[in-house]
Amino acid sequence: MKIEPIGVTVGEVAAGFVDNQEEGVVAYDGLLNVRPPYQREFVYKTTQRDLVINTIRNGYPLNVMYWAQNDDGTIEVLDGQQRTISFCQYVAEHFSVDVDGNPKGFHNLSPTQRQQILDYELMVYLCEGTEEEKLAWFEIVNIAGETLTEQELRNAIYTGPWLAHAKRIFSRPGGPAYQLASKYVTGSPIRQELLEKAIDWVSPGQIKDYMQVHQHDPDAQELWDHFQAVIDWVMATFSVYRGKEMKRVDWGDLFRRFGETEYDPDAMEARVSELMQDLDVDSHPGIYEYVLDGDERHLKIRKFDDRQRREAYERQRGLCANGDRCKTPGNSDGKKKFGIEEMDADHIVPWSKGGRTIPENCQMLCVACNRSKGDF
Amino acid sequence: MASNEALSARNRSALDEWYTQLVDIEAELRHYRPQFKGKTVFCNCDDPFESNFFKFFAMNFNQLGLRKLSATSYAGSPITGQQLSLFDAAGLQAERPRDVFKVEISEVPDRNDDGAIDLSDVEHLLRHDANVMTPLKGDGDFRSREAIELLEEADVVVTNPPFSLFREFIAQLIDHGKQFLVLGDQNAAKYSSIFPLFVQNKVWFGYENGGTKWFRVPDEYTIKTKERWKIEDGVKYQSMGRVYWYTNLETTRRHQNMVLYKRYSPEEYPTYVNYDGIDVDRASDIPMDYEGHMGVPITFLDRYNPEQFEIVGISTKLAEPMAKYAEPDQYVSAKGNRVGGTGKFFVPIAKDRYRGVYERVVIRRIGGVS
Ligand SMILES: C[S@@+](CC[C@H](N)C(=O)[O-])C[C@H]1O[C@@H](n2cnc3c(N)ncnc32)[C@H](O)[C@@H]1O
Repeated sequence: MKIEPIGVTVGEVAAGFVDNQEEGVVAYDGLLNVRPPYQREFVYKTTQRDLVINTIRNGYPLNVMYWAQNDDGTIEVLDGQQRTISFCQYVAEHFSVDVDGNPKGFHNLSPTQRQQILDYELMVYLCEGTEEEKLAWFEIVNIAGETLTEQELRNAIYTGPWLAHAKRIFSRPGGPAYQLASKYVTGSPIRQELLEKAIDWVSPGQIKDYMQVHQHDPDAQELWDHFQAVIDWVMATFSVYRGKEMKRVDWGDLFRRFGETEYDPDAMEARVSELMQDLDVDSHPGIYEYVLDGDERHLKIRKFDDRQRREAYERQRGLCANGDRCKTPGNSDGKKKFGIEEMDADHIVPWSKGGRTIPENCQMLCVACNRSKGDF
Repeated sequence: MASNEALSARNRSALDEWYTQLVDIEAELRHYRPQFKGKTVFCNCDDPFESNFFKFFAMNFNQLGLRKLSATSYAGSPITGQQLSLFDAAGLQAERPRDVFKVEISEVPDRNDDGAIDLSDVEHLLRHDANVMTPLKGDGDFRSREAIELLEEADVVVTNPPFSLFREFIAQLIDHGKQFLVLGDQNAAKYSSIFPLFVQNKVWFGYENGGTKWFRVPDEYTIKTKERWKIEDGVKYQSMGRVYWYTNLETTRRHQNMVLYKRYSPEEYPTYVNYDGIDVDRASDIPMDYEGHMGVPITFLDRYNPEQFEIVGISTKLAEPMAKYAEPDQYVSAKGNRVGGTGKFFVPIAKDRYRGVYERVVIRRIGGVS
């Protein structure tokens, strides 16, 4: 891995500056991807923008910027995107700054003043190395004001045709992935959250490795196919739409575990709907997981509240409901009085057998008994 | 000069004194720079001493390659006290005339010999060149003979006209066959005299229309909503969402296709009761495979590409009276209140019950299903 300071001036970088809006921003004769397509546009205030120009005009140092060398000869701006856009735009006459109380665009400066800006030396470190090395390093130096998310960092490293294609699908506001899936998942395309989710689902969980393996693939069809398969499966399995609940389900995980099975959507819906109406089910998103894997913990079955606990405790006069079968050592006669904080509230008839979270169904068990009950 | 006259004019159009910030002008104008080469630009409704439009073109005169720049002030502007004088703010001292006047500039030479051409050279011009600033005989109204003479000479009009006279202002530009780039309320696109211009592709929206713009206002302007005003460096600003750029200059934006992904389904896109078309409640949800008429919100105009869609009309004109289709107590507003049954599209919400939808632009896709 090589990290070297390189000598470039504002004038050199600003040459060939083109702002294609959504399609990205390039500079440095087209070699430098200042903002790759569909990368988040940082909201940069005019005051910050003006400050960059004043810093340059005064000959003060701008913070160090980091560039990453790609295999194909192009370069990614890793850190310094906004500063770069600011001075490029200024040189391209996109805005003016206040100079001694007088607004001046670049051309309003005297030839000497213009030359001073163009000759200003930037502090740029260019990094060459394997993708792995670059990523590890950038994660450490990701200190910039414009902090990149992890996925944005990975996008800056694993560039290539695979990523370009993936971004067209996953990173465009209103793009295909968003249109297909925004009813079922959360995540902003422009912040690369949808892309991250899609890779997380297909890999599973091994985002970096997946990007590394597929970096040089001609396209991201596999990723897109998998993503569509997940969403299609969700739609086919759960025919009734419930936005708030469904968006909080990890569909990628469920698809991996149950995507091979075909379910009867009517039967599924009947169960989901019944559980949605069950007042003791606290986690509605958990219902979807529960109807597939049967694990009651997803439902967060309602617990007895403090009043109900207190009521049962008083009713039992502080004794464990298991009486002489109590598991607490030395309490074989069941006469030991526990403090309320030493006991747990328990469903007499479990929720799965139709028991409700109502006072009549509440009993207090000592901690030892309750724990051993859970062990069954 | 007749300050009574000025005062009454000022009261009449009290809410028209919104002054555009230089950042907003620069942000929009950067998209059109090449189109100004060799052009005569006219900033009317635009006191050169107070306006950033004049300032923008004056300081970019040589860079844009303008042939001529002219601007007129208006007797109704709050010139007394000069609370908005931008030349003062810029530390420049050109003395403003007390009367209504026009400015005409056909070159900005480096008069002060500092090697750079900037606003101080413009100030120099205003002060020393007797031909640059001339008093007007009338009040500077954009409909006055003097203003029209300047208009006729101009290629492009760029300004923020008084919102209360927007229809008349646009009509004048169209009648004179001028190019323009002007600010206006988004709602104005619905006016019966403006909307047809969108349909005929004689007007479209510019680039920087999202978000909120802040305008400099006279100190006495008040507004209740806290978030909508601020004072910075002793200057009062008010914000307005929905202020859009209206233009007939070329934009790349209007040639970009909207990318469509939705497919038509009768459940998602209800058919109107009183018009043969479907309702689409967000422009980005336009189905890619629907051949017929579709009603979309007015915000569609900001994404409109005449090669992709054709505008058929607007609901206020196209909707048939609901009386033909239902009893008056069967049609209601979104909130469930009874409403009039004309000038509005209705969709069924239950048996014998219909809900009116907000104004819709009716469009149709050009070409077959893609
Ligand atoms: C919205 S303000 C914009 C001012 C300036 N163009 C700017 O953007 O900073 C509209 C201006 O038009 C002036 N005005 C009002 N009625 C006018 C008329 N009939 N003819 C010309 N100007 C008028 C107002 O006094 C006001 O200064």
